[in-house]
Amino acid sequence: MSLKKALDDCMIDFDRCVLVTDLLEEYKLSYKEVNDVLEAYIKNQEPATKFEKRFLVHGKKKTQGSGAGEDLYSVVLESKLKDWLAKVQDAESQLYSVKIAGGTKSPAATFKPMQHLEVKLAKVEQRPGAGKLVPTANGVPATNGVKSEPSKSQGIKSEASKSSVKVEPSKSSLKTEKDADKPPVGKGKHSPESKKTSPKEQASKAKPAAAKKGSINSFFTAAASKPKDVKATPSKPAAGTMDNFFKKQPPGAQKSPTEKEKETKKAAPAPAKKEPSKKKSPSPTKKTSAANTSVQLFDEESAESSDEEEKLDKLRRKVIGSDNESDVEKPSTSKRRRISDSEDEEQPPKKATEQEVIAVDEEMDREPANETYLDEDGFVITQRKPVKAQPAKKKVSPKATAPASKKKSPPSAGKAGKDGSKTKQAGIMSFFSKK
Amino acid sequence: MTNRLETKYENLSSVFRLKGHDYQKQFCHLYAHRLAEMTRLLTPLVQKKWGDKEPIKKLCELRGEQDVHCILIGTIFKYQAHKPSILRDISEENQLAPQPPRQNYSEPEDKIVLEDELQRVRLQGEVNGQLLATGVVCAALGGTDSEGFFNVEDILFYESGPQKPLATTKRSRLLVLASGLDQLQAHNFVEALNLFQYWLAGSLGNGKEAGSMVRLIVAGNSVRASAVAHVPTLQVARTQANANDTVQAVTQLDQWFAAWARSLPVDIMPGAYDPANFMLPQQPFHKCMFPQAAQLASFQAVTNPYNCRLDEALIVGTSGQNVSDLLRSTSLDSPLEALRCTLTWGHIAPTAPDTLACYPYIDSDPFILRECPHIYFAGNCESFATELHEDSTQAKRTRLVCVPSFSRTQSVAVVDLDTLDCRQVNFSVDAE
Repeated sequence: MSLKKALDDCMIDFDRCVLVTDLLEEYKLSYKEVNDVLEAYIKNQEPATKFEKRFLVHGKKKTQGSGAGEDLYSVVLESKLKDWLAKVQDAESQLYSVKIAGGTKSPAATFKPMQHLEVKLAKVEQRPGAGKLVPTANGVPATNGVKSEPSKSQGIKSEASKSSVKVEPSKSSLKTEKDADKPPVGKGKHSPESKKTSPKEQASKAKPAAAKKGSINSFFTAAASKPKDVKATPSKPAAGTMDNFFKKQPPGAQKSPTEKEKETKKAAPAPAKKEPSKKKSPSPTKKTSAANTSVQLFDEESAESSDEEEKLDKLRRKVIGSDNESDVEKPSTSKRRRISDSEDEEQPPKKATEQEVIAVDEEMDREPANETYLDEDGFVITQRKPVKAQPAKKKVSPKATAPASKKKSPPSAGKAGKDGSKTKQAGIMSFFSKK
Repeated sequence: MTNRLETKYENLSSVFRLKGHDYQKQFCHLYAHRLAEMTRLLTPLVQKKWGDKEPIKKLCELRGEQDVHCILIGTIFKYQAHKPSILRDISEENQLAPQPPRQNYSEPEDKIVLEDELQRVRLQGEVNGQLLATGVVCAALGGTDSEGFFNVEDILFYESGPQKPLATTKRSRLLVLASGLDQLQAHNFVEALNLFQYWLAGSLGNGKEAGSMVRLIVAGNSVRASAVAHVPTLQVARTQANANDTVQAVTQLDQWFAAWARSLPVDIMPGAYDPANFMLPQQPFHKCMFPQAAQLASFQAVTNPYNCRLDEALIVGTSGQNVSDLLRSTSLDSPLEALRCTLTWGHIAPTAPDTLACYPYIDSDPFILRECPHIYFAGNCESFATELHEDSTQAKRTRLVCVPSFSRTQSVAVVDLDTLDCRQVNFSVDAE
């Protein structure tokens, strides 16, 4: 819409102070054009409506002493315009602001950085590596605690679209990270075909893909940002991972119930590749306390991360373990350590250790008894039972292995249902470590 | 829409970038290196001015003899009774109420001493102690007397070394110098700031002039232009609020600079009250502080002092700490005079590290002006002042500019790189 049309259609509210510079921005006109159109409009309106006008006076002022002149740009009221024009050399005046006289009191002026440029750089160059900043800010909109960051980057984008500045979209630089993520994601993608999906996959379905990748990216950038020349604030990656941590908690808590439901429904067979879900499944079987979710989180992360990240995770586990350690929770924490150790070692647990697990389960009074078995798709299904069913605990685990052994087709040995899942898990771990 | 004129640009501030952060060293190394370097630079000038008649001697060579006519090269030490001293503060704190810090501690009774590597001698004669400062290296021609004074007959300063001739291109190339944007108080001069940015962009009917503006240098105090009032309080909330204000101010500045840097190259120097390191040389703001602006190659955070070359013109400047500190310790009457003195003495900040905090360099003194600049500025001055300085031989011309603080004056300085003409541009709003 042109300024003239906007004025004719009374689109501009002169009840507030209208700055010519604001109109420059909005209608992408030169100052002179805006001035001419506005003056013509005011001339037409003037007898009926009284306007309070301020003018921009430009001229040269001779300073005492030094011979150097002083350029002056001054905003003056209409009543003082003549005085100013008289005292400034080579004076010119243009409209600066207009408002209806006696209108509402204007709020305090705020400074808006300009967008409309009359004179600009021939080539606005992007600093090398500047694009890398965008993904970190952009890719974590849901998980990043710093909310202003995404908006900022959007702001940049809008600026870029307005001007000729090309801000690299996040995707290009994300590609490598995406590629790194692909194996688990790609495998997870098989599940949408079936109704039965692992909790993680469900989460990925629910969330937009970009958001999910963003969260993973935040994890990767935390490790990868150091060598690169990334401009992200140091706190960002950390915040991202912490947010991931908190974000992943609720789905983690919902995992077992959803699986239960699905199991009871006995949905259609799912595709074979369910590695991520298998990774997760051991944790619900062994613990359901709050600390358990952290183990889940680290399981997920370790599945997606490299060896170095696994080392970091090891450290984190130690820290968390030490934090949560109390006399009451001693058995559970020790168990968690054992779980993490077994993962880190990437060794398929033996039968004997399996039995140990069961023994530990029995020892833990606080924990509800769980029923764990592999379904025909290779999922480790955990069915919780009420605590009162304690005596049946001993039977639970053999039960758990029995139906799994009946149903499952991929692992050949029926007895080693759980064992088989573990070996498979280890295999995936080694797969990722090779990657 | 027109395109802006382009110039060759070279950042020469690498000497001011700190390679290490070892604050354990003594400052004597800096003085020793300054004296050694300046002696090396002064010696040919001494011989050129006073010939070989008078020998250049070390103080230890005088052996307390009288009437020895010679040239001494050394560092000025100004004994000032009222100079701030932490040791005195500590020793007196039990007996006296704390005295308010003096704005100027220069007195006619100040004693001028010349020190070389080993000894010192008190100067008298043709030397105006009130216009000298501690840390200045000079050559003094004179003779010893019976009272142990050195009677100065003439004194020679380095005068900032040689200067490359400035080739005229017959086209106007303007350098814009601003300082003291003081974002935290920007609500007091919003309209002036608004005019300034549209003036930079050439929207105020100044398209031709704006097209020839080749660079904007913001010489410090962009975030804050005055010290934070430290009210003793146990409330954490207050300090927290101050920190939040600073963060918000930096975010706002980022948006300003991102917008301006699309119009012309922008260099940002840290200042005395900015969230940067305190000691000179102040290191550039980290790019994380300006995530939007830092994406543009036309924006850069630079050191304070800053040294760059635009086409052939060598530009050197500070955010004004050197000048304000010099004004405290001398009787110089204006920032422009102080700026001129530092150029004459061949040292950007002679009072560092004595009364001006500076990094304890052990193997160099980066503040020595080895090449005479064409434009030499100091930011955050009370008012705009400029002069075309010519050295004693009238072979070198330097445009001295006291860049006014924008928050106080709503003004910026514009220098023509071709003619070295300088003027002030004021953006004001007539109060009703």
